[in-house]
Amino acid sequence: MARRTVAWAALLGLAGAGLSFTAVQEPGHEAAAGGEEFAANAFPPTLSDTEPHADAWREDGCLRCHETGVGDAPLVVHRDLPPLLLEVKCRTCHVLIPGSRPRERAAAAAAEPFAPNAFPPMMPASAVHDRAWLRDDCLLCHEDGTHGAPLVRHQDLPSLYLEAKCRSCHVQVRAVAAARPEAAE
Amino acid sequence: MGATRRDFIKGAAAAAVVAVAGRRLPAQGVAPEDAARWVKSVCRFCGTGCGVLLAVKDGRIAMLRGDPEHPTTKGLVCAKALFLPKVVHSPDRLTHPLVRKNGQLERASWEEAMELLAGRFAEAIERHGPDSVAFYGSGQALSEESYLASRLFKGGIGTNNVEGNPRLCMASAVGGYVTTFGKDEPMGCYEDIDHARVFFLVGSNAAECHPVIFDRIIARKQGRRDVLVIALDPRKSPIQTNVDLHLDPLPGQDLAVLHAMAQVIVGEKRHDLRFIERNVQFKATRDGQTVAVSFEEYVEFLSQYTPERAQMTTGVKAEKIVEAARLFALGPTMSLWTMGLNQRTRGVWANNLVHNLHLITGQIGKPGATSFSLTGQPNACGGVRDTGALCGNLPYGRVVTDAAHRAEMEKLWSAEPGTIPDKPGLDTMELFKALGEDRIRAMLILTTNPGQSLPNVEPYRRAMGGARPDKPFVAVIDAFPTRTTELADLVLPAAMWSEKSGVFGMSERRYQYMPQVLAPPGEARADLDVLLDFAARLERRGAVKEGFIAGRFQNADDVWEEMREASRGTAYDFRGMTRARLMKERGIRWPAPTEQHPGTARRYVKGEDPLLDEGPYADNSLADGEVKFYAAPEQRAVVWLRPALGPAEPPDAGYPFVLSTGRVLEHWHTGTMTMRAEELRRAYPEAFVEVHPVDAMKLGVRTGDRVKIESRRGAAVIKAWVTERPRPGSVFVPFHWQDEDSLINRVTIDACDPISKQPEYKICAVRLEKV
Repeated sequence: MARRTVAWAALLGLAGAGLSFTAVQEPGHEAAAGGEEFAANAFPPTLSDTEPHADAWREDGCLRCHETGVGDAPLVVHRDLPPLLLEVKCRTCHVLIPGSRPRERAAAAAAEPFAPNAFPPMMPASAVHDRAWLRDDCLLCHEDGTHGAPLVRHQDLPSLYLEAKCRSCHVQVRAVAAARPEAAE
Repeated sequence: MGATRRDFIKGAAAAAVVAVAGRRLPAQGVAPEDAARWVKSVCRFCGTGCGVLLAVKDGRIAMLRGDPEHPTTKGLVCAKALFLPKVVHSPDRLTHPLVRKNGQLERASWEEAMELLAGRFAEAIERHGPDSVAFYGSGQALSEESYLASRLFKGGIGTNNVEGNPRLCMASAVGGYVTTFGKDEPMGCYEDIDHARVFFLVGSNAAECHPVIFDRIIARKQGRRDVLVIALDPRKSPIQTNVDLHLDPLPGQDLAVLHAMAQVIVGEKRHDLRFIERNVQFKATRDGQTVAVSFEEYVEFLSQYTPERAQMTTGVKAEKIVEAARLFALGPTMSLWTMGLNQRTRGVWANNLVHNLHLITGQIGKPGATSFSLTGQPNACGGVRDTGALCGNLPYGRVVTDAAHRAEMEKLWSAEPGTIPDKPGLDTMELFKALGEDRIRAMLILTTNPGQSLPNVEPYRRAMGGARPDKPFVAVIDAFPTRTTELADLVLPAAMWSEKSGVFGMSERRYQYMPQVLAPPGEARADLDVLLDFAARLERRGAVKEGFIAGRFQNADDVWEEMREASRGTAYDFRGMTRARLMKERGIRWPAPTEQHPGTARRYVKGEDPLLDEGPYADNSLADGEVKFYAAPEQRAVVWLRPALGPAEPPDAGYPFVLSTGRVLEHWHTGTMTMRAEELRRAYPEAFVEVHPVDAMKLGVRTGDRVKIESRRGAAVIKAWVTERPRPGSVFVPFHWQDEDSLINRVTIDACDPISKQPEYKICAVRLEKV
């Protein structure tokens, strides 16, 4: 895994040395208001109570989504952290709040003009998913959650789908945000 | 959360039961009470013609799902279709006309725009004659639009300068079918996939370019050891996941492999002599003349293509060729091919040689045995090929060089006798050359992006947009800003998929109705409306006979009625496809001469093809299941003795690599639509060039390095992906990206097949340099 988390900086005494770091926060997770005088982004964002987050404690797979934005995951911005922090578990610093919802995603869904689940989930840009194109064995993980893989929900789809390539519908994301095509005029 | 595989299977089975029972299948994510209505329609990307269901609510498409009741695609769709709602509702749509003034495109009214369009065309016709104007259409236009444009230009204005982008992708397949069988279009159908035991994929990355077709092949192959896939392709594309035997010739050398397979078949007496004697003739070209030859002469011709000799020239091991030939003859064999065969300077010949294999083995006209060209666009077949919207064609198998055909269409169109010229107009590449030389004075481009898609594109970009005195006038009708609209003098905003109604005709001769379910954004108009308006203004200016179009047609329904009549007496007869029937049914395959006829799965087969029962092609001496190639000369298909020639620009010391271009699953053609769906854009945000590890090591290139790809014509700078997909000495670049560095068609070659006039996108010589 690549770059890693945030508040180890404080534990290592680096924050006091003036090292800066930032993280993208979900709305509603800002530093407490009303008298508390902490710096913006003083605390690592908390994690909503979702299955991928629960598994991320064990699997260190956070960046699969949070580097590329799969599933509308907020993007990680870990500037100026020492290399050691690139190796630690995300859950070491990011606290999971039981019962909390991913608010940014909910807000995005409310503004989304398309039906819920109108589009098939994207696949992360990881080596195992690169190979899925070749092996068509996605269900080995996704039928029972091996390695924390989200479970497939293909109710009401034609039976032919059972034998089709997953890649026919599930797009593999390779970029955080590509530039929109240039308008000619 | 979620379901186990067992639940998954149970759910799918339940869905199938629901589908069979005819109940509307609720799509995941949209509760029935939430969706205002579900509408059946058809995808607008490739020629697979997937049936789709649209959830329409509050004037928007809330969701798209595959249509499980569709007879051939059975509910399958690919990612591109699923994201079509985002494409249609993109904020990037063109919403008002734009006129170039002082070098800039500026907003204009429709009245100003249409007066400019008609005025410039009428002026060119008056000053320079009818052949000074041209129409360049698209396999994405609706059939009614292509038909009306062809009618206007050929029968109204009096020029055969009518072309379309199928020239760039399908012309060699057309040439192959016409020279072998006498008429265009495949004789088989998608149901043949369910019966084939051998799939012969030639120059086709169906896994990405026709995902639903490939999914059906996978489904057929699943769990059956007797269903095999043979690939003939220099590149190891993602179809390799399901290929049992891969023949990987040097680029451009596959003709010799096809001949060598035929040599094995006849050498081992695996040919079907009875079928040959009843249905086949042999021809060769000698001293520029076509001559009939015997089967024995064909066998003698093949003797120069033994597998061992073919191995020396093509690089394919002889034992692989032998194994492929034996499997092919065993059958039932279904050949499927796309651009790897068509986009070649010997594309027609290559098509002929695939047909040869089917004809000498009798692997044709039976369930699972057919020679099937896959189509890259939704309506290249029904729209451009069938309606005759190419420079040498007239509707439904007619050609401009045949006086009787011209007279038939002039009568139907109420055109003055002699209006349609007796010589073909300019083909696509000649048309754009003529534009650059100012011989074409006005051109109308509809639903296509030649500013990015033409090979060796830079001179043609200058032809369209290069500033010069008295520059020709170029008008573009499109839904999005493109690399072509940026060159145009006039841009007209078009309604797109689901914002207008009409017919798409896909690869298996199935005509399907696409209903309008949305209002176009802003001031965008349906292309047919624009063409009707354009025609009326030309009539008022005297450039077209008064009443030739104005007053005859109000909408696409009116045009369709004339099209049905135009098919009367032809091998395409679809008079039974009334508008009401198409709106109700999930497509109908022609021939379908009466309203009671269900459509034809397999042409040329007694008991299936109604034209063998009644009419000019009828033959009631045949037993059911027997084949008769009634459209071919002497009603026998032709096995051609074609020399195995190579590409126009093989690699050499200065340009030692072969460049091939193609596509990825998530994007389509020049990306003007798929790049508008964020998810698809993020799947492949930038161009890449596949480089074999052996070549990468020599060049010092690693994945992610930027590489300059340079030919004798131009260069592109693209990130490398080191992979074993291409052969050593070959590189592959998809052509979807429009940014300056990635415009790979600056590099490709515009050499064309002498018969089909289709350019050789698949092979040109380049050199690579890490930058």
